[in-house]
Amino acid sequence: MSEREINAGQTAAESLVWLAELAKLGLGETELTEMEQDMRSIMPLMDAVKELDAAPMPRPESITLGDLRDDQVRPSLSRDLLMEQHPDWPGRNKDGTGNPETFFTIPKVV
Amino acid sequence: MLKDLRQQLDRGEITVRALTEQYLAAIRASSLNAYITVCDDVALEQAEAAQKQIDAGQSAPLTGIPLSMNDNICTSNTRTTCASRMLEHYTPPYNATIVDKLSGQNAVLLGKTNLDEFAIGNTTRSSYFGATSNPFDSGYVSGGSSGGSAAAVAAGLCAVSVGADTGGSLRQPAAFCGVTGLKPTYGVVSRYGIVASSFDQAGPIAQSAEDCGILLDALCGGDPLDMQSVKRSYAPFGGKIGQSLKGMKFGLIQELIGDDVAPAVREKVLAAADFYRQNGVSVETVSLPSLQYMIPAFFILSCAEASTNLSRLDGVKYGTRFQQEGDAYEDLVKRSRAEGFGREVKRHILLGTYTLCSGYYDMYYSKAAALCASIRGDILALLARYDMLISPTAPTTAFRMDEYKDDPAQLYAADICTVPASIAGLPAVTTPCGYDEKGLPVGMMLTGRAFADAELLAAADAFERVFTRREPGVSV
Repeated sequence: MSEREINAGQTAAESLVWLAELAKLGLGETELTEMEQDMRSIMPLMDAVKELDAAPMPRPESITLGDLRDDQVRPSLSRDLLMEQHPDWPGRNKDGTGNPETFFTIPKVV
Repeated sequence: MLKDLRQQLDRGEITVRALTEQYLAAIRASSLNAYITVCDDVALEQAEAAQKQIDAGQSAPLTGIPLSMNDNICTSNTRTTCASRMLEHYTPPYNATIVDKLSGQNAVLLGKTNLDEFAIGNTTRSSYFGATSNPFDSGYVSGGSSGGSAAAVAAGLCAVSVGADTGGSLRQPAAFCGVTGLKPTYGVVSRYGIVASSFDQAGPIAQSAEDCGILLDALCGGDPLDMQSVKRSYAPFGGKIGQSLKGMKFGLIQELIGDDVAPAVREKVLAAADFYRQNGVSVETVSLPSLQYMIPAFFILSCAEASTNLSRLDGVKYGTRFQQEGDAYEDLVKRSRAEGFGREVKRHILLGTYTLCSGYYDMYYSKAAALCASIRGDILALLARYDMLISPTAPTTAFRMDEYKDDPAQLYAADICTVPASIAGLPAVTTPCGYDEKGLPVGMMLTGRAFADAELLAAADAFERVFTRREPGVSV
């Protein structure tokens, strides 16, 4: 199912299921029904821009960058501190000893 | 208030610890739900450090001042939840730059205030930790997304607060809660460490424009960690307070004082405009016809950014993992995001995904981006002729707690007054200018040219000196 098929003969509910799939959101039946109602209320608001001819409008200005630092390697956050953020990291022993695992686990992908 | 507190602390009339304990007691006694996390122990430790600095005769403007900040500002010693179940247990490994700046003066962090989940909303109702009530009437919202910050300042639960403004998220709650709030010029305050979209700018919420200036002095400055912050030296933001406004020209935006605006709001803002006329300011009615497209354009861009920015919160890279036995990788991600995010955030993600889809990108996102550039040009053209624009901060006073729950489009449309300054990256200050028949505050907003933050605060201060504010809870 491609993005272009969203409006080509699909119901709003089917389109929503597809969008939820793209957005990696696992929505249940009740939620999908609620979202469908929400979208009916909101889409007219967004559709106001569709009628406008954007051709004569100025291009969005480029972001003005501040001074950039030199591309040099600098000390960063420690590996332990970063690994601690993960919800499933074996980590060090409580007394600080032990060789911490340098990976964290996720379920099998393939 | 800040100058009075400064004097009392420096003269030893009160200790930092005693002051901090007073605020902590007030927070514990409050039913507003203004705070997500109260930092009792950390605050008292910071109070000790601040007291030492004061005793050494080296106090800075915010030394020992108890303040709060939005819970989407990263603090390494305190969890930062963004009011979301997804980050309920998240403690960042670093401080936001503005947190380091406040720590540098030994300000005291009382706690992290409530907001709409991921700063998406204008009521705080979408917070995983429950809505914040309006200090003037608990049956009404505090506004959002920085509703907790605004309510905390209004109810005396902190001296000042740091909020964040996306499309009005600092100004609207400040107006709803009857306090002063400033969205600074884009780039004045570093955004490093603030969980936010590209429109966001942190700013002060306080009991007065003068106090906003003192807090902004501490927050401002270029930051090598935020390439959109502006490297520039700033004079004290309170430096223009007291200067005559005579000869200035203000534009009163006619589309924002029409029939769509509540009568009490229109009446009070027009009275505020008269005040400025009586003080030598020329106030003329101006038109901003592109206003009708600002909400759709801004909404499309903010949904697109929400969709992109929040894609990293998947229970793998970041965020709480919600997993069931047998879940494959994709199942884990979908379940974590379904369980971790609330309805408003999911709505934004879905709409953002839609507008960024191949085939719809040009129809929505590209047009919205071009439209915003055009709108910015319209506002700058007005500000080439006028020193400031004056308008209501919001078309109504605070909503009832159950209002617009089934009509999200109406809620989004209520940001019509505040979105223009966000689109243009311009500074805007809100200050209370009256109360409606229910006793709820009415906010008046001044929008200025880029880097005219000090001038805005001076103009707001001039009004504040003649306006009598009510304390929350006082009957009409």
